[in-house]
Amino acid sequence: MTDFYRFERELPELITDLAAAQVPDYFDDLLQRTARTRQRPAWSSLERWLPMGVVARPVLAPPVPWRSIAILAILALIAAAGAVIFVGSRPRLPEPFGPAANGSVLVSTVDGDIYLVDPVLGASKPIVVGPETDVAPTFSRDGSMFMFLRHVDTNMDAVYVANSDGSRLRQILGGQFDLSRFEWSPSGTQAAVVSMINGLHALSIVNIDGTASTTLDLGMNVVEVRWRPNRTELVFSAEKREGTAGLSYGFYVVHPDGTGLRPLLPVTTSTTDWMSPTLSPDGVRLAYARWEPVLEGRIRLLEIDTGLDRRLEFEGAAGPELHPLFSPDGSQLLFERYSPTEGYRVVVPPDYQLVVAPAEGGGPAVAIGPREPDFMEGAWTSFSPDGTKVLATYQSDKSTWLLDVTGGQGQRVSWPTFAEGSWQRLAR
Amino acid sequence: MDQRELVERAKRGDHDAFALLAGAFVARLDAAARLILRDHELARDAVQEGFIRAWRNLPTLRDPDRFEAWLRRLIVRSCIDSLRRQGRRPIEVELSPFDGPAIADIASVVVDRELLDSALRRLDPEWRAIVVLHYYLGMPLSEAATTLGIPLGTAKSRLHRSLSAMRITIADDTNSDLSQAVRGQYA
Repeated sequence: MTDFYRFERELPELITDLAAAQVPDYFDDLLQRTARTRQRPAWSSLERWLPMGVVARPVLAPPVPWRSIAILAILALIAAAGAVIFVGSRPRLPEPFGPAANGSVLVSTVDGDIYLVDPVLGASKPIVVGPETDVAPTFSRDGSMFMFLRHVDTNMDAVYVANSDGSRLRQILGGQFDLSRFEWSPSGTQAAVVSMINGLHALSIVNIDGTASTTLDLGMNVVEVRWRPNRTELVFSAEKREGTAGLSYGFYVVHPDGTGLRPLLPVTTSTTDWMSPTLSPDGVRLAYARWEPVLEGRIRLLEIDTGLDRRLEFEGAAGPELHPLFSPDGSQLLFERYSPTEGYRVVVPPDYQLVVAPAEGGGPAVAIGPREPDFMEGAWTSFSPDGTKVLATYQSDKSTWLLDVTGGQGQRVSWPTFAEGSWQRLAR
Repeated sequence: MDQRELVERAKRGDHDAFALLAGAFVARLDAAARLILRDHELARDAVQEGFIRAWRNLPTLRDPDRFEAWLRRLIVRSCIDSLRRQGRRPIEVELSPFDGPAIADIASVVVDRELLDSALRRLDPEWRAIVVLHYYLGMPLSEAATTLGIPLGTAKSRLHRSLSAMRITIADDTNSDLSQAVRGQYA
C-alpha cells in the first residue's frame, strides 16, 4: 500500500480525534425550540401515500366482462385505423444513437421552470411553468418526448414525462427518495432510474406508460447508469459493501430484468478509480477517468466486450483530465483539462479548459471555450446532435456558452439561466 | 424501546421521543458541523436549524429506518446553507512553488491534531465538507455527493484534491516546525 492510501486510511481516526463528540451546551435550548415548533402534517406530502412497494408493484388487471370486451374490440379497431393514419402523417424520427440533426434545447431555470430554446435564434418559450420546482429535463433519444424531475419534498422527486412541446404531461413515478439518475432507454419506452430504496441507491426500470416498474435486486449502491444501444444491457458504476473489508467500486453490466450481472473489470477499493463513465454511441467502448498518484486524473478507454482497458494519452497533457464525453459519431472525446497542481503549497482553484481530442488518444487536442476558474465543479456539457457544437454551462459562474468543436472562444448565450439542459435530436 | 419505535412516536408528535432521538445523534452531528464550518457559533446555528427542520418535517418521513441518514443530511444541508449565506470566503492563494518533500514522502510524517486542524482549516469550506462527510460521518461518496448537490465525479475529484492539499499543507507545516526547532538548537 502506498503512502498516498495510508494517509487516506488513517484520516477517519485522525478527524474523529480532532473533533470531540459531546452533547453541546445548547442542547436543552434546542429541544425547547423544537417543542415550540409545530410539526408539518403528514398529508402535506402526497407521495407519502405512494411508497415504492406500491409504485413498483405490477398492476393487476381486474376481470373484464365479455360485453366490455366486445366494445373494447370495436374501439381497438377504430384506434388501429386512426393509428395507421397518424403514423403515416408523423415526422420521421432519428435513430436512437449516432449523429442526428439539431433540434431545440430544453433548459430548466433556477426558478424550477422548463423552457424550450431555439439555439440558433436564441428565442425561448416556457413549456412547464408553475409553483413546482422542475429540473433536469431530458429528451428521449428520438426527441419526441422529455422526462424531468419534480421536487415533492426534501430529497424527494417524482418523475414526469411530456411530449416535446410540453403537451401530455403526466407523472410516471411517484416521489422517490434521493433520485440521483435517470436515463431513457433506446426505444423511449422505459427509463432506468436510480433512487434510494431500503438504504441503497437501487436501479429501477420504469415503463413510460406508467405500468409496472421493476427494481433490480443488485445489492449495491448504483451510481451512474447508461443504456447500451443493443437495448438488452445497462452499464453502471456501483459501490458495494464487502463484509468487513469496506466498500468496493467498479463497473458492471446487467440486463434490464436483473439477469446477467457481471463486473467489467476487477473491482477496487479506491473511490477514485471509476469516475465519470461515458458510453460510446455504439455502446462498445466506455471512457472514464481514474485518479492516479502523481499523474492525477487520467481518462481511460475500456472495450466492454473484450475487457481491454488502457489509459489515453492526449496531446499536451499536463494536469488532471476529467469528465469525458463522446461525440455523437464516437470519434472524439470532450473533456476538462485542469492546470497542474503539483508544486503548489496550497491547492487553490487554478483553472481548466474544455478540450476536444480523438477518442483513441493522441492529437490534435483542441481547446474550446474560455479558461474557467477551477472550483472543482467543472462544466455541464453536451454535444449538439450533429457533433459540430458543444453546449457548456460553467458551474463557477453559471454562464452558458455555445462552442465550436474546431476551437476558439465560442459565444456566450443569454438564454434563461439554467442548471441542466438537453439537446433534441431530429431526423437528418 | 428501539429507534424505529421512537421515530414512529416522534412522527406522531411525541416530543419526548424526538428528544431521545436527538440526544442520540446531536453530539456527533455537532462535531461534524464544527468540522465543516470551523466556527462554533455558525455550527450551533446550523445544528439547531437542522434539528428544527427535522422535527417539523418528521411526519412526512416515509421510512423510519432512514431517520439517521435523513437527519444527517438535514444538518449537513444546514451547514452548506450557512456557508452559502456567508458567501464564498476568499481563497487562500499561495502560488509559490513548494520545495518540501515529494508527495509520496508526506504520509510518513506524524500527523498531530494541530497539523490536521490547520490543513482542514485551509481548505475551501465546500471541499472540507466532502472530507467530513466521507471520513467523519462515513457517508458513501454517492450519498455525500447527493447531500452536497454535486455530481459524483465532482465529489470524487474534490475529495481527492482535498486530500492532496491537506497532505501538502501538513508536510509544509512539519518542515517549518522542524526548521524552527533546528534554528532553536543552534541559537
